[in-house]
Amino acid sequence: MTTATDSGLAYFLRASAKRGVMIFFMLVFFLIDSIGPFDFVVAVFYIGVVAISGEAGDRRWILRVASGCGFLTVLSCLLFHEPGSRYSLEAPLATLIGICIVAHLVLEKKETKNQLRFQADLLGRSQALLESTQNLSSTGSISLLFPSMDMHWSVEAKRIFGFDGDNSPLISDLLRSIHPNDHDLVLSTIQGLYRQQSPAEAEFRIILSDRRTKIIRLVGRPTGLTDDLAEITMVLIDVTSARESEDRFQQCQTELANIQRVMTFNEIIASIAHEVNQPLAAVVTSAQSGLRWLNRPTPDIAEIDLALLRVVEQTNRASAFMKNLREHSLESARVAEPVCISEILKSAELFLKREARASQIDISFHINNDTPLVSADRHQIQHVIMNLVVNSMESLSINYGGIREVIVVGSRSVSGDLSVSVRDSGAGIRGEDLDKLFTPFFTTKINRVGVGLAICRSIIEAHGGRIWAGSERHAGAIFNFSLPQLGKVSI
Amino acid sequence: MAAIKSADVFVVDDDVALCESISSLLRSIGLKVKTFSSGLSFLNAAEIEHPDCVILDVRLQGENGLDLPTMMRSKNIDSPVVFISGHGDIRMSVSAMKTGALDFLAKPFRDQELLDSVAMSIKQCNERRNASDMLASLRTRHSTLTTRERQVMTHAVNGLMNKQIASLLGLSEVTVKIHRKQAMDKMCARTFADLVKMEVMLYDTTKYGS
Repeated sequence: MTTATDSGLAYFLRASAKRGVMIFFMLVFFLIDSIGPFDFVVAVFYIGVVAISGEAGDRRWILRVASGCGFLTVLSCLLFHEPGSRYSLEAPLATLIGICIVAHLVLEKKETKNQLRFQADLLGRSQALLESTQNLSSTGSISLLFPSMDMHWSVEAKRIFGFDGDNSPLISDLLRSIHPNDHDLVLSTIQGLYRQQSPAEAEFRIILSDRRTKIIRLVGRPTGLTDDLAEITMVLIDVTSARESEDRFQQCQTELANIQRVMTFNEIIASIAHEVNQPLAAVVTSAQSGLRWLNRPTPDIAEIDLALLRVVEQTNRASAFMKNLREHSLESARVAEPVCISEILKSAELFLKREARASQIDISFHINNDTPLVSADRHQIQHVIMNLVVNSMESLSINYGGIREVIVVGSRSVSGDLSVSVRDSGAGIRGEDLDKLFTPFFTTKINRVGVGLAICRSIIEAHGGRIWAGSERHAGAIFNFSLPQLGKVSI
Repeated sequence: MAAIKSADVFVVDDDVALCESISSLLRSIGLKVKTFSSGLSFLNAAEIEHPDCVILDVRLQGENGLDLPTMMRSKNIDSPVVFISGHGDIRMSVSAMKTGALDFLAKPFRDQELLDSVAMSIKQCNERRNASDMLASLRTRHSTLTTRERQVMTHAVNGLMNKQIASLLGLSEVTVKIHRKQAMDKMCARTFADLVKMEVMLYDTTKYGS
């Protein structure tokens, strides 16, 4: 506050001093004009004073100085110059005209200067607004010039990346802070923005100097292109907390779905058990009662007959139920259509990326261009892939310290069939478990039913394919399945 | 007490085939069996007949077998219950036993298991009935006592001496002795200790109700 007052006072004193000097010079020039012989020279002096009057005041001050100078010119002309003199009228007239022109120019200059200052204020305010908006929304912006690769960073952009100092960071600084696995993605996005001149988006991770990881969403747009110069503007949004809560939500949902699945499964098992147990109990009891009737001192043929009839009847009932069950199983619901595996893998990738990120796993999908079409039920194949990938991700539990990586590859086998493999970097599968993996109700996990892989196998085999697993010591597990190419085998 | 008794064992299961199988098994060892496919028809019949054993399926059509023991008690049916279930887990067997059931068998069960349970049930039922028969005869005998004899018996059992009883009731000691002898004869008590036991049984059943 004090400094503001002080500087205001200083400004006022400075302006007053300048004005005083100007008035002093005006009076000096008046004297020179009045008593000296320098007619036109004095005109230049007055004009000079008017020209610098803009420095010491506003519009009114300039007008005052100009009119003061004019008045003094006229006054000295009237008082001291004899009417007969040769230059008596020309010199003051020329001086007046000069003063008018210069005053006009000075006023205009002053006006322009005021406008410029106003614009600068406006600019400053909108700059401040932009900065606080960016700060509140965790959104930074960067502009990048090609081919010079000059960058301009907004304050918030620098803050997000943890860069301090006034220097604008370079493109190499930007690339250095990006997570190694997202490096190519960012590079190709920026190149795409430059080459294709169309807007693009990407989401990537950065690692700060304190090892913290942030998730950044990039939205870029080319903003200018001339023959050899291009500029792109990129908006960088810190979406870490949004993604984290999304991940938590997703995790809860997955857990819930899992519980629900197990519960539904238990319900189904209970009702199947009931349907099978009931006739089974009747069969056993009838057979035993038949034996008892037979072993009586006088066997009761009529009762034995009835008991045996019940045995037959109840056995048929159980087998009818099993037949019915099969008819309602996967097999009858299957739809066969030409399926392109890359579509399924891509949609699985979209879905699984999020889950992988939540478990801090790097998941990558490699789909070769020559993968053959297969005749299959899209949803069932999708189920198999999801099941295998989720299994692999679960093998990399949060406590697993090694490399956390899942690689899915879709390719064409030597025989022309489709081959899909899911490899993880986990601890692998124990040798004695390898044979039991695909048997129903085998599980190494808590709270699991152990039918996932069994279902996968029945789906793949029903499609005429094969599924198998392998494991190398310390090299994780690999699950493969193959499906015959379209037209080779009809299902 | 059931007057007519057409069956020893009632079988309640909504599965007719299983009902018949169990019935056949029990009949093969000479028991009389009746089968029911619903809890309601069973309750109506059991109210009249009081079977020696009830074999009850936990899962009945539209009703829970586990609720039936409570309903039986409210209708004064004291037959022991053996539960059978198609998918018995520990939780279910615990809640079945909590209803006061005698046993819980998971289907399919071995014949001997079921027969053992039924035999135990019948034995328990008979014991219970013998006890209640005894109590009934005790009551009949007690009702033949005169008011004086009852008073003397109560005081004597409570540990008072003849002299004290005499002064309490305003009688001579000899009269008290006569009443005491009469009471023991009428109650068929061989020793004084027997009389004490009888008094306790009578007292308990009047106090808690039978």
